[in-house]
Amino acid sequence: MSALDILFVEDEPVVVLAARKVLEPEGLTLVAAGDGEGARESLRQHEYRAVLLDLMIPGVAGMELLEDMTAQHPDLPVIVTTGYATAGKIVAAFKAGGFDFLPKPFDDDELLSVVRRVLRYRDRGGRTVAEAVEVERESGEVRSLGSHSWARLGDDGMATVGVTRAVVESLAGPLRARLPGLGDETVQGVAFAALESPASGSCRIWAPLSGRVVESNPSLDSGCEPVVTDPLGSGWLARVAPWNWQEERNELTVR
Amino acid sequence: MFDRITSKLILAVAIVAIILIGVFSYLIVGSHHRELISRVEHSAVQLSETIKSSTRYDMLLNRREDLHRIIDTVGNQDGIEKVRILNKEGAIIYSRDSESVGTMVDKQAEACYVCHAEDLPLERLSIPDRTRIFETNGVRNLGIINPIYNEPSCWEADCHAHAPTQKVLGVLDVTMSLAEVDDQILASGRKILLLLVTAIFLTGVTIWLFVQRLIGRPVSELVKATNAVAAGDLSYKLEVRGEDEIGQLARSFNDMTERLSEAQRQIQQSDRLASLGRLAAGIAHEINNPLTGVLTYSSFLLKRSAEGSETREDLETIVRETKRCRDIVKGLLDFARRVPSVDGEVSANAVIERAVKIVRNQLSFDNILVSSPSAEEDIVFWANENQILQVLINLLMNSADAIGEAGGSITVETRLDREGDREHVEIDVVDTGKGIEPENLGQVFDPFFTTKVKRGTGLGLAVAWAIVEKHGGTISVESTPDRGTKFSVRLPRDREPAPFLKGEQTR
Repeated sequence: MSALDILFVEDEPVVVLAARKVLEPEGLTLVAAGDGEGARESLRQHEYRAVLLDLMIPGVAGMELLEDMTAQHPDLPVIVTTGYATAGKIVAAFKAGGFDFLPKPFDDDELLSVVRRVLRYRDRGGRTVAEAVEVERESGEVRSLGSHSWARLGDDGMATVGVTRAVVESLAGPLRARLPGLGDETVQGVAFAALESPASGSCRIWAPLSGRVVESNPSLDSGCEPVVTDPLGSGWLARVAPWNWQEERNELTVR
Repeated sequence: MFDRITSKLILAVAIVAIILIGVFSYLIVGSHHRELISRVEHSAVQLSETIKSSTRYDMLLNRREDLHRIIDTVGNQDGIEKVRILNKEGAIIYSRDSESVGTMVDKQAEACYVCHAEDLPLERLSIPDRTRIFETNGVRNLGIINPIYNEPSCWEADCHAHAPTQKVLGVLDVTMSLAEVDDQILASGRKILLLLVTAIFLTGVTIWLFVQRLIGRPVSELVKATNAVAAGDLSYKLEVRGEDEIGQLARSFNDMTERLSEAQRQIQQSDRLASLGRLAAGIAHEINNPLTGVLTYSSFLLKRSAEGSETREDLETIVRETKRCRDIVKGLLDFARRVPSVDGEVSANAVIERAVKIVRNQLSFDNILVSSPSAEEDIVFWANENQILQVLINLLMNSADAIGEAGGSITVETRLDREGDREHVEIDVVDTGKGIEPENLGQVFDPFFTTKVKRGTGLGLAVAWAIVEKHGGTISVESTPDRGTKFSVRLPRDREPAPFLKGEQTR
């Protein structure tokens, strides 16, 4: 039995209809589950390539369902969505193993882009969250926002931030980076940069820590090759003066 | 009519008056009494001596009728009760009351005891010892005894009635009534009592009037004001009369209600913001689902509509406006989102300079003159620098908007307030912009309140307010339409780490 494409855990019919409208013309199959029990049941009966999970559904705490899914189906990437997308929720969703986050309301491009990326990532071998970030060999403490972005605190107190290989693998080239400007503010759990390509659309990069941007990677001006080849090294995105590393590091996964 | 404080004061004054006037009267009446008695005594002695000397000749000649006549004449004067002559054995040899003549007086009786102490023979007697006061039939009398001493002329007289060995021949006893003296003393006692009552009454009335005017009325006004404040009317103002303690009390009271109403305003604002946070969560959840439907469908349809068609234009409008809705809701969520917190020492000048730099990059500041505090005026305080920067940016952007195309100036001033138990840093942002209408002044810190036509979400000042409040400070505004606006931020210099504040910032 071949895998179905997307399980959409969502109790709002209009959102399910809209998603179906956007995804089905692209040849993607979508099954909807209206509550936590329905979602678990569907996962028992079928194999899916990815899950789109709304955090506010009846019958179960969305975050718990997410943790269960990533624990029981480590190879199944989950995109988390909600109408109440605070930075704290986004951080918690990544911590619980979510692959990406799609705040509502989204438009067709955003939905299509994130679904394509998650499927591409899965089809390329889709390493589990635990494997998604390799250990960095350089000095300094490396911590990551789920399998999404990472931060490494240098000896000078400045943090270098970048994206994980999982993000790179979900994208299809040629990439262009939209980076924050000097002096911009980053907030943990709020998008601070984007990687774009005609094939993948725009991929928001969620900040792993809060602070003020002191430098963005100048070598990315001419192209995103370093990001693709060495996302944890020369492909860093920005350097940030952290505001509250001691507290925020607890929200991140140790590498 | 007499309130309690007045009656208590009057009672106290009355007691003092009674004691003072009472002691004073006692002393006056006593000395008056002594003076009157001594005057009576004096006249009794004189009378007694007069009788003795005017009867001497008749006694020597032993002419008893003449003697009796003289004594009767003298003794019939007003105020004289008795005139008696006793011989050495105590027999009454003459009395105006002729019935007692020939009877003996009891030498043990009080009147005699003075001279005949222990039955000794009568010796010389000093004048004060000769008098005595005694009471008969409820009337006081003064008795005076005058001894008649033996002299050579007595024993050498022809009658040879007395032997030369005798020292005292007899006693002249005169008794005078003290009725008149007692009447006078009683009358002066009555006068003093009247004086006392009048004095107490007059002082009472005077005190009542004074107390009523100086204390009673202001205190009852204060009570009224306190009740009004207790009932929630914080706008109640007391009239300040004079600089005395009551005036100072009224001033302090007004000061207190002012501070209370400011505190209440801050609390209300804080409540509004807290409920806004809860509201944001609800709105975001409820609105974002239908918005997702609208946005996905319309953007989906937009791609499939014919280029240049009217439908396409309509769909573009729908997509654009829906995205606008999305931004509004996102603004709400950003407002309610947790703010990263790290506190440290903040240099007021440095943070002001950074804010000015950032705002200059975002707005056209060509026609606005910004003056910041001079370097030597720098104040270092404990705060979250990024949040304070945000406050200043929001205030500066607000001022720049108020100034607009016309041009003007923004002055940023800092001050250190050392009054009270904690030091405070005060940062004023003063602009020469169009000002705020008085009716809008109370709402400028409300979320979504905006008078700007195009720019702004209406959250800038609400965010500033929330940040300052988190720092335990206050933010206030003064404005004159067409003249300008002054925002004053007041922050504690050394921030006390309040546990509930910390919890809020770290989620």
